[in-house]
Amino acid sequence: MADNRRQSHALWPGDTMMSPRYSINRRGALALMVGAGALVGFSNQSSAQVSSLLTKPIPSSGEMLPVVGLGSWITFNVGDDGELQDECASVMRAFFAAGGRLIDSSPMYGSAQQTIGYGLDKLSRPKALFSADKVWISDPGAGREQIAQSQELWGIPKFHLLQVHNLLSWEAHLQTLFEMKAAGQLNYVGITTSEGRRHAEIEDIMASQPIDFVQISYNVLDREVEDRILPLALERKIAVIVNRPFRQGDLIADTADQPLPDWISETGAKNWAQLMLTFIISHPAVTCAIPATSNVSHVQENMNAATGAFMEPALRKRTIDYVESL
Amino acid sequence: MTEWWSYRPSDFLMYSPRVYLRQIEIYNNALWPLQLVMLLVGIGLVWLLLRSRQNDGRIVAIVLAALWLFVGWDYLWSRLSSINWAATYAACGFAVQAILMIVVHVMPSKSRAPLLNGISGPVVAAVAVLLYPGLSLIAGRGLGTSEVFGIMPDPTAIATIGFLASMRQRYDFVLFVIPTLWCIISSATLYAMVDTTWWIPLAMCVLGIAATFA
Ligand SMILES: NC(=O)c1ccc[n+]([C@@H]2O[C@H](COP(=O)([O-])OP(=O)(O)OC[C@H]3O[C@@H](n4cnc5c(N)ncnc54)[C@H](OP(=O)(O)O)[C@@H]3O)[C@@H](O)[C@H]2O)c1
Repeated sequence: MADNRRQSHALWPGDTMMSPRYSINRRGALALMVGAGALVGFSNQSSAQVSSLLTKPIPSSGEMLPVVGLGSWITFNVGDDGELQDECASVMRAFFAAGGRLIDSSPMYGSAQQTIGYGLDKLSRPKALFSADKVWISDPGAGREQIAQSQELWGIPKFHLLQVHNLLSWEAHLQTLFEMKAAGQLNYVGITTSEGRRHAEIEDIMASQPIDFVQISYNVLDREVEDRILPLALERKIAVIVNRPFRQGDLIADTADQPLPDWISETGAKNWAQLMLTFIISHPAVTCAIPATSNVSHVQENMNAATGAFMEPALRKRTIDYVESL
Repeated sequence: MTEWWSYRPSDFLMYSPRVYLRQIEIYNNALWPLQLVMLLVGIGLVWLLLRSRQNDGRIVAIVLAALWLFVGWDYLWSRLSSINWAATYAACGFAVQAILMIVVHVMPSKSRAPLLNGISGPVVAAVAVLLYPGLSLIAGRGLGTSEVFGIMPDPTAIATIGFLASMRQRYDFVLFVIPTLWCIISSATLYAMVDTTWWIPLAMCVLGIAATFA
């Protein structure tokens, strides 16, 4: 059964959870996703150490990204505590060793940016890094200054992706980000929200602005974005980053005592975390999910979700039904 | 903030309990044995309140103002702000409280003895000074994370409410605002961290305010 799935694992046109309008070519997309996975690696590791990771293209450029990234809210906010900074650096080491690239942070996350900078230094600045940060300041004129501070904390000359965090003063900040992109100071521009907030505005911006990325919350129980935002992302060729894949850990805590479905082997997942992640990254509009963790074995577990295969629509539906029945 | 109703206390918690408690432990270690000195200072202030002589209120207010400044600077500004940017605003609030204490209780030329307004105010203060440090044990956090009056914000704010309840002064209602806000923030933080003692700062604050009107 699992092998069957590998042959036919699919991005599904006309799935029950998706409007048929947004169907895309299965074979082409799969080739892009899986084929380039092997190319993505941790620069300081031999490529043999990184088993082929599932990747997806950033629609606006074709650049491939592993489908699992790393968040930093709470988990990397450890202040000046040297012991905990080292623990976070170990999480980052395991992340890069597994072929990870995208790390997401924000000036809102306390000392998380500083911790990432510390980790990057400790790991001799991995070349695989795809840096995704945010602008989060209400003063419309203060965006550039905040971005410069963030770059200093990460210890990098430029970000790959900058997103307007929670749409705060988004008109002015998007303008700044587009200018930076035009000047070659930035590769991609995005916007973020979470837990279903301001979706109407998110849609308007997706429809009217030339953004490369949108970041939203999506998981097996919170699927509001399936109705409009994910189809719109496909239509407008906007990459989608998924935050809160585990509802800040609650999904895993709530299911921890529950039996895994007896058909889990069909999904390639071995535990709840992997099942939840595989569900998310199998949506054709999703580019990558960014679970946060302070735990090395958890980051390894999460990255392993990107070494399997995508779920078929029927299996995704089954996953929803099963989790909702618990 | 838009759609503010959709936020829960846990949405504002930006660090894990582990990080928060380790920071308190490191702070306590760095200051030890100042905790013992503060315990004696707290007992001394309660005694002054009970004695209630000319100028005692002033002495209490000066010492409390100094402690609000110290806690605001050494804990909120210098430590907590590294994991919670909002702590810098709280530190400013603590400085404002110190100034208010001086303006309301020290600067007026007519020095009045604190009107001992029943025993409940000093009792609330004494509980904050003597019993609050033991709370960390009840919560199962260990002695290293004890919250001592004059070192940590919660017992300092609660003891201040107790002191204020005993020292009726014309504009003193202004002085309740910041300690009360702090107790609300602290309870909400502990609640978000699923700490079983989350209700204590709020309950102590309410008791202190009730003592004022008793
Ligand atoms: N508006 C925005 O822009 C926005 C909003 C929310 C989030 N985000 C971004 O999205 C990221 C992810 O969201 P999130 O951090 O809120 O929530 P999340 O990733 O859904 O959950 C994180 C929690 O899951 C636990 N966890 C991770 N992997 C696990 C595993 N394999 N097994 C068991 N538990 C596991 C972690 O605990 P351990 O540490 O114990 O592993 C952590 O407590 C954030 O870090 C942030 O970068 C952005």
